[in-house]
Parts: sequence; C-alpha cells; structure tokens
Amino acid sequence: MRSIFYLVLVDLKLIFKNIFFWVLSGVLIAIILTVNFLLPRKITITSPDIVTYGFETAEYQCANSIEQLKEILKKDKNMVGVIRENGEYTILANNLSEKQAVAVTLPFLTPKEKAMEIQFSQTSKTMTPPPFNKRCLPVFICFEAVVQGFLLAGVLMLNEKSGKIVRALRVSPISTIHYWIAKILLFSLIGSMYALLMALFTVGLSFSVISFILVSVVASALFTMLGMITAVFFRSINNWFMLASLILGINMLTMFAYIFPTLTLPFMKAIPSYPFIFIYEQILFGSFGLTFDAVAIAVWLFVLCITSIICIKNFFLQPQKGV
Amino acid sequence: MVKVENLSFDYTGKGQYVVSDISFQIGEGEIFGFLGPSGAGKSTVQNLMTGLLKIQKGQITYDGLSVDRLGKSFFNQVGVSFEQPNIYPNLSGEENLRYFAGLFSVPTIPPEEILEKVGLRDSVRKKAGDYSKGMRQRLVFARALINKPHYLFLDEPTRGLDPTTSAKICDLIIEQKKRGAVIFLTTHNMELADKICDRVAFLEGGKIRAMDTPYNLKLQYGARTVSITYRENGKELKAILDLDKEREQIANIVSNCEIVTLHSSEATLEDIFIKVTGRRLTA
Repeated sequence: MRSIFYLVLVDLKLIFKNIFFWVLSGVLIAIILTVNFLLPRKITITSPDIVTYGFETAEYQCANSIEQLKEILKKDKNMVGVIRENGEYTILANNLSEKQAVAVTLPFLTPKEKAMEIQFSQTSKTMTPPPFNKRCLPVFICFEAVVQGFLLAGVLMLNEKSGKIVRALRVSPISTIHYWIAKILLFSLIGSMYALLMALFTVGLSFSVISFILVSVVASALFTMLGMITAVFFRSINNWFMLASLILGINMLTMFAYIFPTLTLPFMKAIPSYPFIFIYEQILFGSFGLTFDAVAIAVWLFVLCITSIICIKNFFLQPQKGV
Repeated sequence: MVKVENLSFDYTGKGQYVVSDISFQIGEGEIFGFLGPSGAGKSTVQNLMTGLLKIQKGQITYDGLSVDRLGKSFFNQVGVSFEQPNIYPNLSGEENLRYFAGLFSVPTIPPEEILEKVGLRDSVRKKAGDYSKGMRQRLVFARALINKPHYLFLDEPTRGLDPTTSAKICDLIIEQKKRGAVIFLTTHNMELADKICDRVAFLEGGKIRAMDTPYNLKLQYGARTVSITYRENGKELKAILDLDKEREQIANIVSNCEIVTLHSSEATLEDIFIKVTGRRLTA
C-alpha cells in the first residue's frame, strides 16, 4: 500500500507540472462555458419518426393495437405515437415537448380537427427532453473528461521510458500490479472529478451523483488502461500520439450515433465510448437502466484489465530479452 | 554472495556475443571492480546481474538463488547507480529520493541525510532537471544507497566529478563495504579501482582477460622501477631502471654519480591493462 501511495503521489506531482494537464483543464473550462453560453438550447435537425394507431398514412408505420404502439415507443425513444380513437387524438412521445409533438401531428389533421383539443402524454415520465446544449454534455464527458487517463497515463509512462526512469523502476521492489493500481486509481479519480465538475457546472445537481461518479470511475479506468496498453509499445510521445489520435478519433465516432441515431453503424456499438455516452445521457437526463450497456462495459473492462497488466509486465517493467 | 557462471549475451541474436563466457563471484563486504573500455560489455553484465536483461546463457545466483527466480521483494536489498542519470527532472532532488524511498518496504535513509553525504545539501529543493551532470550523477548514486542495499551496483559512479566530490563518493562506497555490502563497480577509472577495489577484472571484447587483486596484478604483470636523475661529467641525465633486474646499474649510479632526484614507481592498473589486452582503457 505504501508503494502505491508513493506512486500515486509522484504521478500527481508530475501531472501538475505537465503542460498537457493544464491544457486539458483549460478545455474543461472552455466546454463548461460553451455548453452554458455558446451552444443553442434548441436545434431541429430532423423530424421524428411517427407510428400511428386508428388511422393509416402512406408515410408512417401503423400499429395494430395501442399496446403494440406503446411497445414500439418503448424500443425507440425518438418516435412519436399518434392515436385516433372516437374522433379524438392522443399523442405519446418520449423526447418531445407537447408543443413539438402537436406540431409533428398537425399535418394529419383536417381544419376541423385542428380546432379540437389534443391530448398529450409522455410515455416515460422521467425522460424529459434536455435542451440541445445540455444534451451535448455526455459527448463532452466521454471525449474530454474520462479520456484524461488515456492521455495522461500515456504521457507519464512515455516520459518514464524516454528518461530511462523505467530502468530504476525495474530494479525497485514495485510490482506490475502496484504500478497498474496506482495509475488506475489516480486517473479514475481525476477523470471522475473532471466529469463531475463538467456536469455540476452545466446541469446542476439534478441527477444521481453516486451513479454518475461510479460510471465515471469505470470509464476513466477503462480509458487509462487503453492508454497504458498503447504507451508500452512506443519510445517517444510524438510517435505514440499518432496512434493515440487515431484511437481517440475512432472513439469519437459514437458521437454521431448519439446525436444522429439513424447514423448508428453496427460496429459503433463495439467502441468503448458507446455504452458510456448513453449511460451518461440516462443518468443526467432520464432513468438509469443497465442492460446491454453493462455487459459491453464488463467485457471491455475484463479484456483491458488482463491486457494492460500483461503489457505492463512484459513490455514495461520486466527484463528485456535484448533481441 | 553473488556468483556469475559462464555468462554470455548477444543483443543481435546472430551469435555476436557482447559478453562471452564470463565467470566470477563477489563475497560480502567486497568491492569487485569491472574494468574495461567503452563497449567492452561492462554495463551489459551489470544489467544482466540486476535483472534488467534476461539471461540467455549462463547463470547468476544470489546466495544460491537464480536471478530468474528472485521475486520483486529481492530488490529491497538492491541499489543500482546507473551510468546515465535517470531521474525525474521536474522533481527536486529531495522529492526524487523521497519518492524512491517510498517504494521500498525496508527502512530507508532520510533523503536529506544522504543528500548531505553526497554534497547536494544546498540543492535539495532545486529541480533535478536544473542540476549539472555531476550533480545528477550524485543524485543517482544517493538513490542507490537510500535503502541501505546489500547488493550495490555502481556504473561509473565518479564520472564527471571533481576530485573532492569523487573522494567523498569513494568514502561512501567504502562505508558500504564496511557494513558488509556486496559491491559491483564498473568503471574505466583505474585510480578509483586501484584505490577502493578488493579485486578487479579486466574486460575486453566481452571476455575477462585477467582477474585478481590490484596488488597481485601489479606483482604479476607490472615492473617495479626506479627513476633517477643524476649528474655525470657535468651533464644531467635521467634513467628509469627495473628495480629487480637492473640492481647493479642502480648501485653503480648511486655510488659514482651525483644524484639529483630518485623515485621508485610501480605499474598502474592502466599499464597492466594495456599489457594484458593490448588496448587502452580510455580513448
């Protein structure tokens, strides 16, 4: 435990003296300001898909029963349900306000019907549609706050390598596990702190802080491991940074799946940030349900834990073969 | 005791051995000097002994236990001073030592104490990156001593140091020997080796060419000479004569001529190294 404490302490001191850390901290402030003051609160990109019951149109899907319609809405949170019964309209929607939902429905109505009162209800009470600027928050958390571990762990390890400090570590009593735990602990803490600051200064305290911290710790740990795995194979930060940029670029593809769900390609679900971006959305703006996401995260965690320990042991802290 | 047996190492994998069939042993309280020019394989042997390189051929044992089988806790007893100072440049000298001390699970020397011993007391708070080369060398040396190691590996510990600081470092090395440490010293500083080593090995071309105490090597390979400056027929002359083989000539000069100066001298380790290997230690 003592050696882990000292490993964490020295890394903490080193990152405070690293320009990279302060750049990332500057980006954190810039994001908070952007979300609060620069991004628009409302933005309309595409009309939501509609499912109807009680009448048929050529353009939209028609459900056979109200139960089936509700089931469709449950599966696809972006859809709007329009029910016509006994000449009255009821709109069911997840992510739209009443005004937006009525506006979507108006083209179906005759002038006489438009004068009638339209009932509106949200299928999921807890899922209130967030303003656009705040809706971007999970994206920023996933691609700035929790990837700090990826970048900073990589930078620190490569500094240890290029300064040959790793040779001194190899002839010290610290084990691979101690080294690994120290890095994970520190960057999980920093990543979570950054994510929490970002959330607190943009959406306030209207979410489950404990769930948020738990997810942030796991996400930061996961990206820290990814950073460590890649860093052990390089000798300088410059060379590593090319690969790091590529990985972060791929990781950011899930942003499209989040903002434009129709652009979700199957492979995106295999990217580590995919489950986190949606879990953050659920924690910050709606109900927190762990199903498929938890499995994906568990698989990633398991694979990265094993791989990062093996990589650090064999390519960083262990004796070199010389050939 | 450290025992090295038939050690060979090849970086290329093509049979070009940097170190070839080397054997020696070092006992407790002994300073073993490994002398050789740059590229002779000295650091490779140290890296193999400290586990930084994996053994390809041969064996290294610590009190009978192979280096391959030593756990990480063994390094609580090991101190290594690297030739190239490897320190955290953004941390102060004191922070560097405090951090490394924290990695050991054995009692350690307070950083201030060891920094004072190596003459860095005035620079404890200074960033190690702003240290001169000699100061960095001393910091790495201090780090090697912080855990009071039983096995101490020193790679060129006095390189770039002024004579006064160099003498301080020598005293500290002797202090470690007195408390029973096993000390492996690689250097091409013959004066240092002659002064503090109990035994030395000459390494050249990856092979040990000679190994004994400095005194025995001098006896075996060196000639004791006398340098005489004398006046004969009004002229000042100088002669260097073998004390063992040219006794009569020495006696003749001493009895018949006016002696200006007379000095005895013995071969240095460098002279012996050249004699044994045909190469100089330094370029």
